[in-house]
Amino acid sequence: MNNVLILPEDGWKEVSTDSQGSFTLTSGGQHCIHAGQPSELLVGHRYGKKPVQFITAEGESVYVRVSRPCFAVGDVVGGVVPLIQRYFIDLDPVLNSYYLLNTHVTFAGDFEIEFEFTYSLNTGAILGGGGAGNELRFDPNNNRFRFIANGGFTNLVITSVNYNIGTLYKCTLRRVTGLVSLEINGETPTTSNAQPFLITHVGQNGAGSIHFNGIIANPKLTDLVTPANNQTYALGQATGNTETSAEGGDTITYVNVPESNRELFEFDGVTTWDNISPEPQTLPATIEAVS
Amino acid sequence: MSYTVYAVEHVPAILLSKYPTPALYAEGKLYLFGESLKDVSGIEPVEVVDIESMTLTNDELDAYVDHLLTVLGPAEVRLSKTQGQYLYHTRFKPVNKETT
Repeated sequence: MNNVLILPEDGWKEVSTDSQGSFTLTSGGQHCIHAGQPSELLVGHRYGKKPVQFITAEGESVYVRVSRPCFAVGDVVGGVVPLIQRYFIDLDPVLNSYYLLNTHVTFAGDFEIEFEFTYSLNTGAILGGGGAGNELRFDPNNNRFRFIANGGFTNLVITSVNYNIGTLYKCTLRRVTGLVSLEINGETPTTSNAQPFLITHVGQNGAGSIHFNGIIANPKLTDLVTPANNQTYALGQATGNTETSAEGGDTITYVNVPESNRELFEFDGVTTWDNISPEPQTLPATIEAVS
Repeated sequence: MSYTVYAVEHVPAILLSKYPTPALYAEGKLYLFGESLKDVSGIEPVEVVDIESMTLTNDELDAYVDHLLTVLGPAEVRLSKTQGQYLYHTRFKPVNKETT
């Protein structure tokens, strides 16, 4: 069996009830592959339009559906590969939930920050540190995205793009020779100057006054002046409140995150940051919108 | 999925053990959790005020919350996510914001 298929927009699609074989996914967007009946173990998923091959077990049905955020995925070629477990967490400002970086990051010079996000309320700080005004957050009223530095709006990057609740975005914020640019899903809306940027929290601003509501994943903080300061924080390994978790040698603490705000994904394969190339896409209704 | 509210002086220790820094509301009188006592411990609370199951307009919800604030007791109060987010956006914000 070797099927080539186009993924459905949503819901499950049975693609094979044959004996052991393989099939190739060629459709764009975000895929999740489940063996057996729907909602059973997630065995693989990936972004993009690159083909990916899965091996089915004998007598095992395979189902495909578009899923909620699956941020870090890799090449899955079948056979026995390490099992990867990853939690994706909804950060809820009503509960004061956020991540705390145990090792604070200060960019004195040029830097690059990458992360992925989707949100369920049109407000909230994604990264923050220091006092009020030194933050990266959404404007709650105008669906804007902006970088605020040193207490004011003088130094900011603000996008002209409308952002949709429940849509997955990849964001890159860079400062090169003092010029800041904000890139979201390949667009660079505008640029501006900015001051040194301290990062202590993910999911709230440094002053603790604004919390993000949505999902943040795979923040990668790169110091372009001092490479030794480079860090990649793999968020989403939470198992309880204020319990320290670690992945790849980087340590974070998550605060006020209940079980219901976490969803475990398990998949076989290799996680590589270079594989992440999400396109704008509407996720299924797994993130609640406020009426 | 719902929110759980306890008066500060009546909050079960096991909830605070798992969530030592819960959001604090109503001028420091109420703790808000994302899990119930039963979720955390398997123990049923002695008393429950289940607002989540009530069909309330926003005005009725506001009035009910006003009433509850005057008669705070040991009951576990349950709010739906929608009810909790409405109250968050219209009249309540946590008073215990963490800073570095």
